[in-house]
Amino acid sequence: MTIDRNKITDLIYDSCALLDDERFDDYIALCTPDFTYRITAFSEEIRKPMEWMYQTRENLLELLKAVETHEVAVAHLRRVASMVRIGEAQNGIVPVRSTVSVYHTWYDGDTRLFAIGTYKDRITTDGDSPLLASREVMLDTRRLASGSHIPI
Amino acid sequence: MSRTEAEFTRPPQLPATHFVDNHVYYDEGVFAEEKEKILSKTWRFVLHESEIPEVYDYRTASVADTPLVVARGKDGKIRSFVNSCSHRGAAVLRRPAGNLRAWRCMYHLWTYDPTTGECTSRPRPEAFDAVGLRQEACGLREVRTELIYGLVFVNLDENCMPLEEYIGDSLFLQREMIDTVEMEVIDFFELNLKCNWKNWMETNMDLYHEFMHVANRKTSLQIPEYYTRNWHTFPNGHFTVDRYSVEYNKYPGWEDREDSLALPGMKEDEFQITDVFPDITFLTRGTVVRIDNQIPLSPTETLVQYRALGIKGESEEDRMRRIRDYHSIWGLFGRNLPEDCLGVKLQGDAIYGGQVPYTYWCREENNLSQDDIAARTWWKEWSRLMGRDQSQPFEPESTVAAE
Ligand code: FES
Ligand SMILES: [Fe+2]
Repeated sequence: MTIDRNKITDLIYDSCALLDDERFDDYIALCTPDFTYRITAFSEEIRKPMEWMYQTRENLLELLKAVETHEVAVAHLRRVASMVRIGEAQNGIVPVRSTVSVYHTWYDGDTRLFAIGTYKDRITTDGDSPLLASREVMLDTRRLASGSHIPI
Repeated sequence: MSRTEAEFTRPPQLPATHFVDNHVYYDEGVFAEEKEKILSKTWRFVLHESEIPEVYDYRTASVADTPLVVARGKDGKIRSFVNSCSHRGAAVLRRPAGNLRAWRCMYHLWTYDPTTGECTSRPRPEAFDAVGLRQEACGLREVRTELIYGLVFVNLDENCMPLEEYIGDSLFLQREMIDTVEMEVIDFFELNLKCNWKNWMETNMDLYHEFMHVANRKTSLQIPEYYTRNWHTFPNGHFTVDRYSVEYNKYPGWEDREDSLALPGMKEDEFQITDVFPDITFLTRGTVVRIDNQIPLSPTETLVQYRALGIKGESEEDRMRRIRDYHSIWGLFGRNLPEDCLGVKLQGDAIYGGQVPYTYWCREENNLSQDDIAARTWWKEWSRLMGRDQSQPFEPESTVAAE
């Protein structure tokens, strides 16, 4: 099977842009039914791997839908995925890594780097369009300027 | 009716204990004096002993601008030293944590003993000896370090009271859960907040602010017992509030917490806060303890450290559930912490420009949950140590300090 690289990079683009635009239903539509989402980091301080978020597709959608009820602390996040590396497919799953930088723009237009890390995705290519089977966001940044109700 | 300039700028018609002159949040002189009189004179939490479990483990810290290294010596004892080379001042340890049998400064290769802080070698020492700077006089400065319930504190003031006396009974509601079984730090992160350190501390002693949290509105603020808890205050500016049970399943996507994960002495759904002066808060939600402590960087910038404690040796599955309980509310991507960040940011945005003179800590409600007694207790200790009232910090005579 040949992998359509463009479709995979489009999927990664959409996964960033749809969260940026807070189009949560459309974001979740990019995910398989058993999708899992994690945010992780390695702590140099306690010398252990850490998990900062774990969600199933269903729970993530519920949390994202509740965002509009909250006072969001970050006005606008922009996720920039680059350095995309598409691995060898195994059992219908393509491992894909990309670098993600997240920029925060406050209401007055001031922009700061929010965090940087790696998207470690597992992507299925069974159907017409590839889908995210899982995403792990491995953060380099462990000292942030704010928390965020919307994940990255 | 809106207020005129005169009404806006005159001191509130309230007791002096019930409001704050906002200069204390942004004034450079006040900040410098806090470092001298409070931040370097009180016991400051630096880590949980589980962070340096093995001989030769170390962890860096920062207290009142003083870079520190806290280490477990070869005798198993925990000591702290100033993390600055006696030669030309470079930080000797540059990673936040590690394990080293000898500490070697990278600049000119002086070495130190992690157990004693002694200087153990200097390349080409003759030139130092020639001017009488002997190796024995080149040790690192040691800083007073004491433990209570596995919590490691330091005090830059060698003449301070013992830690146990300083803490007193203030941890009586926390003690059972942190000191019955062996605990360890299971999560750590920091926020670099553009706020005065006291604004963050206030967030942790102000239960009236919990209305800002959607999660609390759904799971807590509808419960009558939430409002009828008592605050208990202690000498040296510490305080704690009684527990209540949270209804976690009322927030979309959340389930009730697992009773098998409850910490000793707690029910899995109970909530408990204790504040230890000047900058530490212990918050427990049944299955997990959170500890906040602060590194003030400037009057308007603060590094806050957040630790979660779980039970050492528990199963991987229990550990993951505990961590998920913690992050669902208190994580960087949890429901409450982002709102707390926003609250202090907006305070800073409006106040630190210097044109908003006063803010209130005036709620009286028989010392119950949303009474501001906690903040007033904290400010009373601040005023005593500073020799200034928070409501009129530039008056020559302090009424609180004189008590
Ligand atoms: S500064 Fe450390 S050896 Fe010179
Ligand atoms: Fe809060």
